[in-house]
Amino acid sequence: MSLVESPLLSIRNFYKKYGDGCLFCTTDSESENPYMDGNRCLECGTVWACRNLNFDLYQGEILGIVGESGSGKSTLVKSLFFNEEPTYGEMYLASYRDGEQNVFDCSHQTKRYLQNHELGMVDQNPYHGLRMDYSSGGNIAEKLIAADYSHVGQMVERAEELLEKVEIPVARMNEPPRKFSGGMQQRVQISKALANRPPLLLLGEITTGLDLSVQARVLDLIRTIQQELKVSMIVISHDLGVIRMLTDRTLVLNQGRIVENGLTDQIMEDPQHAYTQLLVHSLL
Amino acid sequence: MKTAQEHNQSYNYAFLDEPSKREIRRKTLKAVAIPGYQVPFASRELPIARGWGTGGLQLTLSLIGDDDCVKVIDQGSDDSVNAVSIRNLVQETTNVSVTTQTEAATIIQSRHRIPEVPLTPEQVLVLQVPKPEPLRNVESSEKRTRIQHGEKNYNAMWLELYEDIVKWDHALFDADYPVMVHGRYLMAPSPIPRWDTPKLHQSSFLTLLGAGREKKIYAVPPYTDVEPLQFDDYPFQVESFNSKACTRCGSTDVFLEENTDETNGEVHYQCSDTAYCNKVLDEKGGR
Amino acid sequence: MLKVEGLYKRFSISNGKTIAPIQDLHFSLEPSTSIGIAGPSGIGKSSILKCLHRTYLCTQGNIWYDSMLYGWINLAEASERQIIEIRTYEVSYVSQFLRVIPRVSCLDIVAGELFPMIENMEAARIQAKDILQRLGIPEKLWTLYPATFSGGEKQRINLAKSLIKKPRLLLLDEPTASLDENMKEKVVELLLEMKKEGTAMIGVFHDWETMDVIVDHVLDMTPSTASQ
Repeated sequence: MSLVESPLLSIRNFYKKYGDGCLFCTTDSESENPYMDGNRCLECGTVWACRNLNFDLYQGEILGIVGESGSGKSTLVKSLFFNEEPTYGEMYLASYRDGEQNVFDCSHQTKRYLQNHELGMVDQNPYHGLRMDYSSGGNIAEKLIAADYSHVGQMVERAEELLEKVEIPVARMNEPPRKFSGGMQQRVQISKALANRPPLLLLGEITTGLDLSVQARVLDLIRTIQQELKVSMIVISHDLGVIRMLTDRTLVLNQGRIVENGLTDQIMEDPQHAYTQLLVHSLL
Repeated sequence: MKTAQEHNQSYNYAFLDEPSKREIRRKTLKAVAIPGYQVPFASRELPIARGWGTGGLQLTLSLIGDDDCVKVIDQGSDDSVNAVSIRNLVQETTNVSVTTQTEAATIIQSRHRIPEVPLTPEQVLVLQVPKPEPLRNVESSEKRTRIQHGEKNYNAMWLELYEDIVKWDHALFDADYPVMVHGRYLMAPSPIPRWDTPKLHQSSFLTLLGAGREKKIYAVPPYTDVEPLQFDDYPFQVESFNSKACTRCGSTDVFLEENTDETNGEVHYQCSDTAYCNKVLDEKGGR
Repeated sequence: MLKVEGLYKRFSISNGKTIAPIQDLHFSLEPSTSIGIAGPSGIGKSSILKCLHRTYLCTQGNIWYDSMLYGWINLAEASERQIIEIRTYEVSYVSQFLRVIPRVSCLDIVAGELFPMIENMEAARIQAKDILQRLGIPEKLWTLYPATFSGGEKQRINLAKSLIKKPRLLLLDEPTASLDENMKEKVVELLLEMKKEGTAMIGVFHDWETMDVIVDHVLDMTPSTASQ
């Protein structure tokens, strides 16, 4: 164990704006900008969804990103999965060109390749992450196909293995997710995301809208997967309870900025920033 | 016989005006340069309705010159109304020679078939295309299919194939079987039967595909890889006729059409390529 | 192996006030020895443990720890990743409350702690069974979820989670508070055994009896005597 380990994923100077921006809001400074109302420019109406985000993710860890709606966390996770383009910013993946190439600068084809091979994503809404009218096995196969599997037999086998892991009866493999409950759909999504064993999994608000008992199973599943497969994960949530259960380190996002980052238990028990204190004290 | 100068003078040579032909040729060159890529073009009005072969016809008209000899077929037949009309239009406005013999033609415009006789490097095959976008069945948005081509993201199509196999144990794509061209673009080869698909792979001739209604031109240059989508354990297969023979000429290794005699319910098989059928009969001295 | 120098901890609470439970604290700890923190309740005994564990960020001062992984390292300034590694392999904190993922059996909760070191769940479960047995958790509870356990049982699950990893430094926050005499004895026996094997301990104990048996030095936090 050396003192310096290199991250699996690095994000530097990440900005995302919705709108054109103007002289009043483009000059970024941490200090209070009188022309801004939170992350919205009063002069031109531009919303700065993410402002100067910098963080690293290491091999085998679960990083939590917590913040309320509008904090910029969904924008961030969409950009990490290349579903949104950042306004500016750098993203480095250890598995791509030794982590020396800013992948935000790469071609769409390269981004698609990385998305297919290096990443897995579980969307808050299963309707975004799954094809509801295709079979559940087919949904898993789609990820495998994307990662260059070309043998139907092997894909069926892998899909069976994964569905078993997430406790969906293999007999229901040919049924479309539309017929499943929300919790089951979420588990199909997780198996799809994991199908080709990507080193990095992005989980966005995955327990929102699930019953408490189902939530617990999904959380347990994620923890088990992380322990067994050593996948690195980024867990996005507004729910500190979920973050506390799953993560070692946490970033707190507020109005597009990281206002605090630290060990999850430290954030929960000794929050430094006023906003984090508010969040923690709002916890049931 | 009239010379080329003697064609119907009411129209420009080959019906289209020169700038139009030039545009189509330019788009054709682009299509050849990027095998399998659908090049948008300004599809012109013609005296036949869009959807009746206007894409192929515009390609033919833009390419044609005095020395050419044209063959037009519709589902293998030289004698269908559509084939005859197109052939007449070409001849009327250019006065080039026309033929039904595959070997004699320099330009072969076809709907839904590639002739049985192997084509040569001197020949150009022009295919009429109703639906140029292979992804349309799995993605209705043109904007998104363009992005998918750009990113070489054909997962949706492969998934369709996977689902067919899991459900039915074979691919349901029949004619117009999707192919990868030069390992880059997914292409709809027009509704040719699977039987004809392998003829496009590393072919010695140039294939041009035109969709008049959808305003797209694309191409398979000679000696280009054209590979049908297939999984390792479910290889692509052409139609099988279980060693049935053409009732007319007796050929067995050709694409056959099934006809039912309505009076007695008997099933007959006949060559789809009528010119080939006639040729075999002639060689046997049977006509 | 542990040297605390000039440690301060201040909390800002609402309306601009601050409280400072730890002020200019100094002490050191050797392997196979233990320190007990004494003082009236609310004085900040747990805060010291939490600063050592980095659950609290200390306001000022150094916490030098001679780690296996990194050599001498200042826990007050080490990176989060280093702290996570040290927590995984070397330093363990036994809190008064059990907080775990719902609907995981108590056996798997304890076995799961070994995951960074042992890949095989079955092998981890064998060790987990052993420690649960030693802490007197009846076998019929092993497959159950701890949410419904009694306070004493939860406390022992917490201990099992920490002790199974055989940490070099153990931070004990009232580890025997809700145990009956019999169980307390078992725990004390186990702790003494670990201490003999080299584990250093620093703890807050709710009763003098346990403190007397385990502790070598007392750190008295009673106001105006807040040094050793």
